[in-house]
Amino acid sequence: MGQNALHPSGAVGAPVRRVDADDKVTGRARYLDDIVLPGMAHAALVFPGVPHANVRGVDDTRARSVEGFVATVTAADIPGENQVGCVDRDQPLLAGERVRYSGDAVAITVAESPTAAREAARAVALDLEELEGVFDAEKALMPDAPRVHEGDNAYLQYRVHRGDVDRGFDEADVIVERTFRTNYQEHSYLEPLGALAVPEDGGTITVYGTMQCPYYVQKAVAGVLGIPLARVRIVQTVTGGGFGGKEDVPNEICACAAVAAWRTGRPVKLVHTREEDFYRSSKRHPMVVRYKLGATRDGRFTAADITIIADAGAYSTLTPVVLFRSVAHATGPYEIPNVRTDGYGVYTNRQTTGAFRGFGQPQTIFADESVIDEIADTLGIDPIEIRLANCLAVGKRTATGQLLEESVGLPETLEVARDESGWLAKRAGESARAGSDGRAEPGGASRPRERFLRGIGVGAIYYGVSLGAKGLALDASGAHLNLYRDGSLRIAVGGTEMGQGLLTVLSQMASDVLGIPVASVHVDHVDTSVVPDSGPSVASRTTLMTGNAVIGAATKIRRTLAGVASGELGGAPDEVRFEKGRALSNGKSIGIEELAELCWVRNINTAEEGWYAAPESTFDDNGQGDAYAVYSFATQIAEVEVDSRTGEVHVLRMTAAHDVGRVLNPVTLEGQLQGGVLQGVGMALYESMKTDGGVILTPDFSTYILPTSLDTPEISCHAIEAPYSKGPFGAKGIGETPAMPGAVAIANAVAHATGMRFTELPITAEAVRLRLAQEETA
Amino acid sequence: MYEPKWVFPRTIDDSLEALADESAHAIAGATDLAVRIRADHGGPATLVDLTGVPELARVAVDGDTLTIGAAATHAAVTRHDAVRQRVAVLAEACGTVGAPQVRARGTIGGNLANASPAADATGALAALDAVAHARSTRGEREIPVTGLFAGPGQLRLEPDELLTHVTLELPPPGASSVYKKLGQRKALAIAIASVAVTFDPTACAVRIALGSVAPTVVRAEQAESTFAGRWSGVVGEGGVAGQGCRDEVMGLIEEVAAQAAGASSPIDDVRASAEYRTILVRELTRTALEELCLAEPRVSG
Amino acid sequence: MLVTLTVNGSLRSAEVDSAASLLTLLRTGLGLTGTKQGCGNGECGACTVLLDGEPVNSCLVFAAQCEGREVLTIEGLSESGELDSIQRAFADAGAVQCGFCTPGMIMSGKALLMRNPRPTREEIAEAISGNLCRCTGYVKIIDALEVVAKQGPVEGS
Repeated sequence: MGQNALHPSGAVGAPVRRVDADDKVTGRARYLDDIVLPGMAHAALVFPGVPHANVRGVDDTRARSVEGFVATVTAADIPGENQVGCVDRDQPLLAGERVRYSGDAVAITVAESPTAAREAARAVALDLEELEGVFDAEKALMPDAPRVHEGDNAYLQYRVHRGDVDRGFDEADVIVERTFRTNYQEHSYLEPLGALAVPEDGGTITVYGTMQCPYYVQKAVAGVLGIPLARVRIVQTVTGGGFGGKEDVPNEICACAAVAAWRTGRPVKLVHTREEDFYRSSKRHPMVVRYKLGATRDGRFTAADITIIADAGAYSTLTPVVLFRSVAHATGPYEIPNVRTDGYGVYTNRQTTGAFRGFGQPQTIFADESVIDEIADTLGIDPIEIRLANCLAVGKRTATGQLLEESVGLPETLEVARDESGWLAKRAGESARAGSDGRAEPGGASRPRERFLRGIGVGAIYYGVSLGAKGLALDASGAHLNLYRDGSLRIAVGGTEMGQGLLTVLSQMASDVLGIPVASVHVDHVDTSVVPDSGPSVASRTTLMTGNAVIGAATKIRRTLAGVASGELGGAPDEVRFEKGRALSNGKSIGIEELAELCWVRNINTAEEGWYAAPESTFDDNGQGDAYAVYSFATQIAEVEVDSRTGEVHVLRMTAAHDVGRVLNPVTLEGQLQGGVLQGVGMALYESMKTDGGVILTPDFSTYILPTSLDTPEISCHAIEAPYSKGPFGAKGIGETPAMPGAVAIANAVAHATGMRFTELPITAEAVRLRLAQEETA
Repeated sequence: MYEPKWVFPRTIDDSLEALADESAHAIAGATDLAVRIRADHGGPATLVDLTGVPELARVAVDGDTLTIGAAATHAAVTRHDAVRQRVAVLAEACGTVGAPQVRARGTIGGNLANASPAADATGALAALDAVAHARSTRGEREIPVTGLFAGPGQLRLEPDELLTHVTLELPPPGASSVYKKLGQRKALAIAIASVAVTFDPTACAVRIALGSVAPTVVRAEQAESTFAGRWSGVVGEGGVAGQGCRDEVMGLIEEVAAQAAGASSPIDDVRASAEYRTILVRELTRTALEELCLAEPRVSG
Repeated sequence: MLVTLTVNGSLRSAEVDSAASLLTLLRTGLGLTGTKQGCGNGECGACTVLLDGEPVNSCLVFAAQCEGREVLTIEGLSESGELDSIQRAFADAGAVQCGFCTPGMIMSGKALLMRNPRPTREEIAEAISGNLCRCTGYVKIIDALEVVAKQGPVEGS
């Protein structure tokens, strides 16, 4: 990976091997479904089979005769409140009265095996009065559309209004207006959703599960059981991917298992099949984005007018926070003086939609970055030049009026991606590879049609790190560090490892602060009984927030050790250095393990708490304010080859340049980038969860198309370091951005190759070929 | 709960005896059947496992005849030297089924017996004029692969008949063949459309089988006869090298490809539209024929 | 029904339902939970094990069909307590993220290297094309297997 700065000393910045790698390559790592407890029963959900209905009755007579049947749990059996709504309180755990989408659970069956539980679930007879449903967000806005809840289907609205948009368009020499549509993208983490709830002594319950946000789960479980938070302990198991899909949905899974365990008095495991997971889990919001952008002749953006309609599905879930992000970032990473962005969240009788890497932005990015390319084409300006001319930089203001004061590496990401990809030559059609083996040069649209058409395209993005103004109450994180008398360190945190490498970078940070080897550090998965509510592991916030909490606690321990060391060695406590397992002062040194032992002998505490709260952020009624404390930036460039016979788009190479603040671990960073890039490729070309009247037509991995190893392009990654003064070692979040600019970069490359601009994703081979056929006819 | 009885025969005769029971169903790689059983929460009362019958797994060449046992896996067929060298279309088709794990289990017999119009090996076998051999306790009979299917999932076999093997005549030296498939991605893909094409320059013949574009795998017979009627005239004595000739060959290929598209009767499904499939038949046929007919003549066999 | 087979070199028996998969036999019957279930339909490869040396989706293989057969699972690669060369390469190259696809991925790599000790990058990509990974973009997985290929033949080839 290309990198601006090297950090030869210390663990931070070094390619430290993942601390969980050995467990994972040997199969020893214990995921949820690998846990077996004595007396454990298994649960399954009773699905309605229809997307919209009143529930008149639930009859489990036949289920009771299934061999191994234990119990049926209905809404009436929920001891607390039948409610798991995450932001808005609109979502019952069990749909006892009304089914609002095909993934609603009406009841839970419990049996001695998963097979028996499912057989019992199928045997439960539901008396349903079917209702007319609404399956399209735009249709749901019509006055006569069926209502999903009591109020309007358009239940949510945000806006960012700035400057004078009409005057801005008057000043424009060119205006482009288009409507873009994107469909559901499914997270497709490889480990399906699952939970294991265990009733324990003292009226407490422990719930194990695969999840991103144990504190959300704690609240949901306490709510449905009607017991205090202090009696609910959530333990995150090794989590097989999340990408946002395990943000809020585990609340429902864990609450179902908890209710079943409470009712039966037994440990109850609930693990979804892949098809159940497709039905139950949230997706990336399908959005309609109407995008109008004006620019002067010399390529300066004057005004943007944007309308966003997001299909929230049957329940609000995380739509309020996702849509907030869409609206706040809708203009892309550019300074535009006049902005009118209006976003609407709309209920439909479809799958719920929520967090997915990029969090409401990839849909609007598809719009803004496509329109910018069209404007650049119209004006004859290079797409990267027009972006550089308008892009955010230190001293510029975002659409919400926020003045950016530090850590804005966007211009450099554009330049590095441009130079590393060979953009200028390829964009101009002087590719070294062109012309050979019958392949057309890039930009071949105006030339006679060759079979293979090559193109190159760009996408640039920004992402407000952490929760911002709509999530302030959640935006703090804790850590508990315990330095043992032998110099080894155990860390408990509130942020979750879901594959991204958190445990490793936290180990590196603690290692550097205390001068101990990474091998002396152990970080546990989250246990809510150990660390205070640390908010969710989402929004690229975990390395930043949890990292700062760990650094804070480690620094306290270091201060303690420094005091002891200066007493032993001489010199001032604040001049003691910690390196390579030793404390150095006054020209002498002492091993950390000796210091730790001295502390133990002298009854000095070496366990400390860390706590980090995000800086203040604001967002007023017009969407003006300092929406996020800091932003991450990225540019990706796609090179494609289109087979004009079949319509297939082959992505040859992706170049990703990301401003990450500071590289903490180049290997795990590059892994994050590569994986995110491929998710962008999937969104661009393959992934589309098709539905019909609330039924999923593609509920499995043979019909929902994920890229395989053979569909993976060459991926070239480059880290730009524009340090963030409040970040751990200067780092910013990196979770989301890798999956954001790729899809539109590919769309723009296809436009460059074929001259055809697509306003819907994915750009399937069929879509390309049918458009070519239309153009042949025309 | 579904609790099938199992029978584990070691010979074909034992298999036939087990299959004479009406509730019995043959099973080998189970790459489709296991999925169906899971989806249906049930299946045949008795499963007859053919994977322990060595005779059924045989792949062998006898003179110019290639014999492939019904329980031979796609992996075994793809790896077989004679298949790779002399019937590339079959090696390629078997090599595009699913992914390595599916090819290691899925069998030629299963591919045929599934009667899916998208079955890759079936398309290649249809283009190779392969013959299926079926046996029951009542005797043995031969059915051309192209005549094996009544519709999607519908096999023209009696319930007690077991598909034991297929045979085909290896093409003569100088002949060539190719399999062109377009799926939604490059692996783990079910064909949106496929064409299997064989070309015998000596006989002036092509054979074209189409997959995923009709209720069954079909042959594009009109396209084949147009080619046969025109090829020698177009090419003449000098081969395909001359520019004038090349244009004429391209013209013929276009026409044959269009006729192949005419032989399809596709539907819309979750993978693609009928309209796109029709275009694909033409384009895949064109690409296949260009590769086969415009290739420099090579010594083969 | 009782199924007896060789797993990771040892003769093992397990009582399973007659419709149970090899995956269920391994995970529930023998407690070998290193092999994962990602889809249950042979579409993701997370449950890949070697059956008589061939990579298979153990969710699609009926346990009943495995009587007397030989199975190698992820647990069989490091029975000595040391990582085998593929496992080591995965850990070193950063080929592991969430880890749920990892055991199946490694077994597909094992199958390839046993048959073809010096595969090209393309052959490696082909060999793991039945194993979905959502975290890594596959690049570092292919890198890891390339490293092993350059080291020379793996155990069992």
